[in-house]
Amino acid sequence: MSDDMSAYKEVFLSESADYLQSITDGLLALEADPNDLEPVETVFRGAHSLKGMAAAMGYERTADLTHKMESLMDTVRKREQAVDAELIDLMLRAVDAVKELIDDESEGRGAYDAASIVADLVARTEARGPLGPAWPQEAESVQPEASGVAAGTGTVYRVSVTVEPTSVLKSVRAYMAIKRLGHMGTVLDTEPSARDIEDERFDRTFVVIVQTVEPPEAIERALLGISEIASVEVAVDASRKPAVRAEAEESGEGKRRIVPKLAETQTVRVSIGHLDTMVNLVGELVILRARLERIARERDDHELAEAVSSLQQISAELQHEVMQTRMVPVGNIFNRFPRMVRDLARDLGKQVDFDMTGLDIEIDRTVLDEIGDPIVHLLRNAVDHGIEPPGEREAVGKPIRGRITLSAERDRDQVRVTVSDDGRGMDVERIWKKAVERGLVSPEDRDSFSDEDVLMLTCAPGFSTAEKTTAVSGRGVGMDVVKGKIEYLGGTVGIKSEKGKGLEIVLNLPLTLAIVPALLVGAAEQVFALPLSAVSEVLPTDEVRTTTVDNVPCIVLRDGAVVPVWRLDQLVSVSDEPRRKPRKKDHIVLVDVAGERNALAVQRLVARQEVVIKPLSPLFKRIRGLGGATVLGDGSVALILDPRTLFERGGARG
Amino acid sequence: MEGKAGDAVRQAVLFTLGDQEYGLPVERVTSIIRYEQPTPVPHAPDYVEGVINLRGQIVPVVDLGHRLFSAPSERSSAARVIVTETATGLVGFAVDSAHEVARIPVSAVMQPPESMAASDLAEAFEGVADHEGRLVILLLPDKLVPSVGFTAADAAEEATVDV
Repeated sequence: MSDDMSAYKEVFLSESADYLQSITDGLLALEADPNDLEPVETVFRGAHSLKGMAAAMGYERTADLTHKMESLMDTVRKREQAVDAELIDLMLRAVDAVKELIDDESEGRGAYDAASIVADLVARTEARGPLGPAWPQEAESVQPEASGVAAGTGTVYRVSVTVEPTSVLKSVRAYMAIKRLGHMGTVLDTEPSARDIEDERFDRTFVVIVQTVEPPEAIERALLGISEIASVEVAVDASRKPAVRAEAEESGEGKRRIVPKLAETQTVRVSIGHLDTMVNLVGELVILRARLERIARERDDHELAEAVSSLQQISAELQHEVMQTRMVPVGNIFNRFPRMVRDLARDLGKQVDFDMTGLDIEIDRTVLDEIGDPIVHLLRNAVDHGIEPPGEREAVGKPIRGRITLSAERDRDQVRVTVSDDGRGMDVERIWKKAVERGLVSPEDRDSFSDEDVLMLTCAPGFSTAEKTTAVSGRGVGMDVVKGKIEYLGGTVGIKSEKGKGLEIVLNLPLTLAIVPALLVGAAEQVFALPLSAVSEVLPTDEVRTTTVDNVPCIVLRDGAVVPVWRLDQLVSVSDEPRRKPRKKDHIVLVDVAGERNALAVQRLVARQEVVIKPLSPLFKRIRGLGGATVLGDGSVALILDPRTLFERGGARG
Repeated sequence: MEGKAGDAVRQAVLFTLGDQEYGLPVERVTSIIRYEQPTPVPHAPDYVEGVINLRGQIVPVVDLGHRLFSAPSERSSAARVIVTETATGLVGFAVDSAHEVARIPVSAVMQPPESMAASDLAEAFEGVADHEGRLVILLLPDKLVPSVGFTAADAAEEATVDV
């Protein structure tokens, strides 16, 4: 295959995945409400587009299969077919077959045999006949598509922005302002035109018409955050009516479905490799900046210091923008869940309505890649152990169909993902009993545990291991793995439940992973980086009292709390000698991970700075206590300590 | 692919450890750099010197002499790190010197001697070859590092890793 073709192949593979996703979404929407034929169009057009793309690539078997799917959907479109479970199943199987076939053909193999699914599609297509009044009349009117740009929701604002008179780069400031507004909503228009603004053909003030759900204050704040922006005026633009999708209003109380349009958007597909390289390069730039800062300080060179300070601002902007490009909507992985929940519910004989919200919330790709499995786990638990069988639900007076919701929302620099259901919930007292049986807690400590604390015990390693045997084990199965993964990502897990009423699991995730503020500390001639998120306090040794509890060195804090203390030089050495007390000149770093406190005694406090996390070789993955490595201003490597596993070493054995 | 086995030639990066010459397959070697002191990694096996910064990428460095003969090497100014792709990612092998890329006919490669086949690293020795009158030992990079990653160095830790 020529280079040209392989470039097309990449585009084909990623676009075909999008089309298959919209087809799947359309089919599931159709299944939820067979009377609404709108999704049929999405499915039909998706199959049609796939057919054309596959034919262009010379993937003839894929083209043939998608052609058969298109023909079948055409009969549905013409009301010659009923929409029933069998049809949806058949089409979903066809979607799976297309995936297999594309893999097969794009690899140049001929292993996959699609003959049987093609035959099934043909048979069903031929079994058509004019349908009687099964179709209600309302289904006649198909909503006109909302026009391209105005498809968003929210209020339309007229934002006039004035740049400071001294600004030498007006167009850059304007560009940043428009870009930032673009992040908050949809930019509908500008005055003067975008072209004129780009060419700096405006005085000091320009106007941006933006449609957003954000309040005016947020717009103002966001824009004033850009340097050299003198003032911002935000007014509701009454001349333009917000284009709200009619269907959203119509549906009212009813189920809200997401049927994505195969719309053209103003985006460019960039390979993940390029983005990773960009992040790496920006990382290098940040390191270089730190190095220049050091040189300027050492030479006491004011001119250099000034230039470095400008470089600092620009590199911070650049870093922000590059990180933005790595942000992807959570919908990218959430969109496979409806199919999974549906299949699982069917297999288990449950009836489940599954809703998702906040699909457009963006999060760093590295974080997103990692949270897929934990969420799958939580959804499986919800269907399997949370939602009761229809009979049981009816008996307790609940609606027969259970409800599971997956939502994402942005909360400052975190994204909160919530999985909730209206199933049987968790029984706090039963969990407490089990935790006591497992020896995780002592029975007399019940008073010091809140209900939520007790629920969190299901995440303790060793809580659920004994119950792995049946499919109807407890809700706790695998929760330790979920919690471990989320905490590895720097996030936290919370559980709320009311017995008999349902369960809510909240995952708080950081927006991004790659660059973190860290405290550089020195021990045993080496510098280590400790993520600042885990550091709650730094104290000189003479401000704390050291003591020993059960032969374990501890420090007593001002508030009287006793915290075990570890010497970093001991933690990173191989010797097996017993733990020693901190030296007089050591600094005490108080480390807090999800409420568990340990004190770390270090010989030197080197600096506080942002570090770029670089992964360690897989060869080191079994060595605990390390979270990666980073390159310092002088080009040397510092290891990043993992506060979650650092103190495991010998801790329990002591 | 070469047509006849007799014509097949493989290229190896030749280097020395003590007085002996060794070879690593050239297609696996991504760069050869001057030796620099790596940053030690706590609890890694003794033969792991640590990690270095290779153009922004963090690469582990294995003291190859130590790995093969269980005794730490001394470094002179001729010392090099041969950065090699292995099944478990990039690894830098620290060697005494690296001097040439040699073309070795496949037919000149012989089974390793009994003594090598008996060592616990037997799988890492691909064979020996006569190159311009010198004996070169060919190594397989994948077998020089544990495929599952390093276990923690101290024995006490062994019991607690993984679940």
